[in-house]
Amino acid sequence: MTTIQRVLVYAGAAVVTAYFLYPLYVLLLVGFAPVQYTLDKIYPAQFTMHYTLANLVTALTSYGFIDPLVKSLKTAFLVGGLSVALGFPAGYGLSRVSKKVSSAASTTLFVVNMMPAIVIAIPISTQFVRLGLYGSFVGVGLAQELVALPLATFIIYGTFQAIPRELEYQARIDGAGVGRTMLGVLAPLAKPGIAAAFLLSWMLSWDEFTFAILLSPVHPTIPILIYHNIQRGNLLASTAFALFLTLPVVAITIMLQKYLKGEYLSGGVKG
Amino acid sequence: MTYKLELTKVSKSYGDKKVIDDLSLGIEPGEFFVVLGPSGEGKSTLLKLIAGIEQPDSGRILVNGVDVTSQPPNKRNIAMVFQSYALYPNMTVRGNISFPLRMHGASKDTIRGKVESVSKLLKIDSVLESPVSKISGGQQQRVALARALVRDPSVFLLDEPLSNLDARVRLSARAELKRIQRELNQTFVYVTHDQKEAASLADRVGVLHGGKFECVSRYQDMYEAPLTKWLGDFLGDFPMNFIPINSGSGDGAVEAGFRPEWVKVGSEGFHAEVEAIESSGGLYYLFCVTHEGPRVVIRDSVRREVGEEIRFKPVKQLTFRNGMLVQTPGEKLSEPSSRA
Ligand SMILES: Nc1ncnc2c1ncn2[C@@H]1O[C@H](COP(=O)(O)OP(=O)(O)O)[C@@H](O)[C@H]1O
Ligand SMILES: [Mg+2]
Repeated sequence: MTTIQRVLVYAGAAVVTAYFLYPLYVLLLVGFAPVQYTLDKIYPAQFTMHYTLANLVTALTSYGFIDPLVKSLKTAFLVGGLSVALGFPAGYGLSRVSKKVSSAASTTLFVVNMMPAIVIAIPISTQFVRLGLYGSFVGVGLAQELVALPLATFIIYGTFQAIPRELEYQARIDGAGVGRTMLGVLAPLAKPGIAAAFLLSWMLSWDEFTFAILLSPVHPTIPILIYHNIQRGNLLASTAFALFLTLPVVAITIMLQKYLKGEYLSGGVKG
Repeated sequence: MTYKLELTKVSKSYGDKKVIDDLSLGIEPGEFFVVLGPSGEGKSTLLKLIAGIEQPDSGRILVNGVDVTSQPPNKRNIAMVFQSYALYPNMTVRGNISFPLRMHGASKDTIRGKVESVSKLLKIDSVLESPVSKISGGQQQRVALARALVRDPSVFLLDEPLSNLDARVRLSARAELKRIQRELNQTFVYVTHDQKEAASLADRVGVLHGGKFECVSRYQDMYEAPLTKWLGDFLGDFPMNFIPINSGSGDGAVEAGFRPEWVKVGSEGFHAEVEAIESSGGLYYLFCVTHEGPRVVIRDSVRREVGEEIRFKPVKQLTFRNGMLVQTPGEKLSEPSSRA
C-alpha cells in the first residue's frame, strides 16, 4: 500500500467511526455538561470544559430509576439463562441429526424472528393477562425469549458442529455417561458458543422495546422508562438513563468480539 | 474355551446400504487381530459396533462370554483409540490419560500411580502437564494409546492409530505397539488399510469385503494362497496376475494366478512387451502386456527398457475357477488360451 492509499483508508475509517460515535458523544455531553450549555440552548455547544455530576444524580434519584433497572436486569438474565438452558440441548440435537433435518429445522427456527414483534406480542399479552404473567418480568422475558432463543440455538448449534463427533464417542467409551459427556466434555468445549449465546440474548433483552411496552407498560424496563420520560419532556433524565442503558452494551460488545472471532465458531476445538 | 470377543451374525445398515452383513468372528484372549480392508468397507463401523457407539440391526456381541449387545459404551469395559486420537482438547496430557480412571471412580492415589507408570511406558512422562495441542503428532498418538492402556479393559480397539504419523515414526510406533501388546498380553482388535502393518502386527488378519470377512488367517498364508481372486488382487503391493487358461471340462472361467515375484524372466514362457517400469529397493517391477492380451506385473532384478520384448515363465502359480482358488501351488501352467 502506498502512503496515499493508507491515508485514505484511515481517513475513511475515521469518518465511519465518527459517524457511529457521534450520538454516543452527544449523550455523554448532555449527561455531564450543565444544562445551560446543552439542552437550554437553541444551538447547543459541541464542546465544553464545564462538567457536572448533578444531572445524573438528579435523574437517578428523582425519577424512579431503581425499579426499572432491577426489572431490566432480572429480565435480561432470565432471557440469557433460558437461551443457554434451552439452546444448549437444542443446538446439540441439531448438530447430531442428519444434514437434511438440521437445515430444515434451523430455517424454521427463525420464523418467529421474521414476523413483526407486534403481531406476536398482542396475542401473547392477552394470554399472559389470563395467566397472571402480564406486567411481570417473567412475562416480558418469555416473550423476548421467542426472538432470542432461535439465535442462541443457532450459535450453539454452530459450535457443536465444530466439535468432532469422536470426542463424544471417546468420552462414552472412556466410561462417561450421557450427562457427564454433555456437561464434563462437550459443555467446556462449547463454552465460546454458550457465552456468545448468553451475551447476545442478554443484550437483546436489555434494549428490547416492543414486547416490553406491550406486556409491562406500568412497571417498565429501562427502554420503556426512557420512552416515558422523553414523552413527558424529561430529556435530561432520558439522557442519563440512556447512558446507563449503553454502558453494559459497550462492555458486552467488547467481550463478544473475543467470542465471535471465526476460530471460536469453527475449527477452534480440533485436538 | 470362551472367546474374549465374539460376534455372531452381526449386521448393520446405514439407510439401504448394508455395511456389515451377517458377520461372525471369534477372537481369543491375548490375540492381536487385524481387520484389513480398503477404505469404505466398514472397518470403523465394525469397531463402533463392538464399542457400542453403534447398535447392530441384528446379531450379538459377546465379551468374555457375556452378551453386551444392549449395553451402552460406558458399561462395556472396552478401550478404543480413534484415528484422529480424539484427545480432549481442553485438557492436559495428564487430564486426558486420567479421564477414564476418573470416570470409573478410581482414587486419587491410584490415578496418580497408574498415569505415571503408563506415561513412563510410553515415554511421555515429560509432557504430562502440557496441553495436548502443544505436543507433537507422535506424542499425541502415544497419549491416545496411554489413555486406552491406563484402564484395564477386556479388549482394545484401535482404528488406524498410526495412519497420521510420518513414515519413520510410524515404523517405530508399530514395533513398539507390538511389543506392548506382547508384554501386557492383551487382546487387540486393530483396524488398518495398510497391509504392511497387518502383516507385521497381526496374529491373524481378517480381510473385510462386502460386509463380510473374505478370509481370516495368517497374513502370509492368505498372501501365498488367496482364497479368492479378489483377495489375490487386493493383497500385495501389486495385484496378482491372472491369465485365462483352457480348462478341459469347460465349466466356468479358469484362470492361472501368479505374483510378480513368482516368475522367472528368461528365454522361455510367455512373450510380453514392457510398457512401464517401477523400481523399488534394487528390484524392478515391469508392467507388461503379453502377446496373448492380458496385462501383467512381473519382478526382475535387471533393469529393462520400455518397449523391450521379454519372455517370462511363472515358477509357481495358482488356479482359480469362477474367481475361487481351486488348487494349491505347484502345478504347471498350460499354454494360455488367447482366444478364450
Ligand atoms: N453414520 C453414518 N451414516 C451413514 N453412512 C455411514 C455412516 N458411517 C459410515 N457410513 C458409511 O458406511 C461405509 C463404511 O464406513 P466406515 O466404517 O467408516 O469404513 P472404513 O472405516 O472401512 O473406511 C461407508 O460407505 C460410509 O459412507
Ligand atoms: Mg475408517
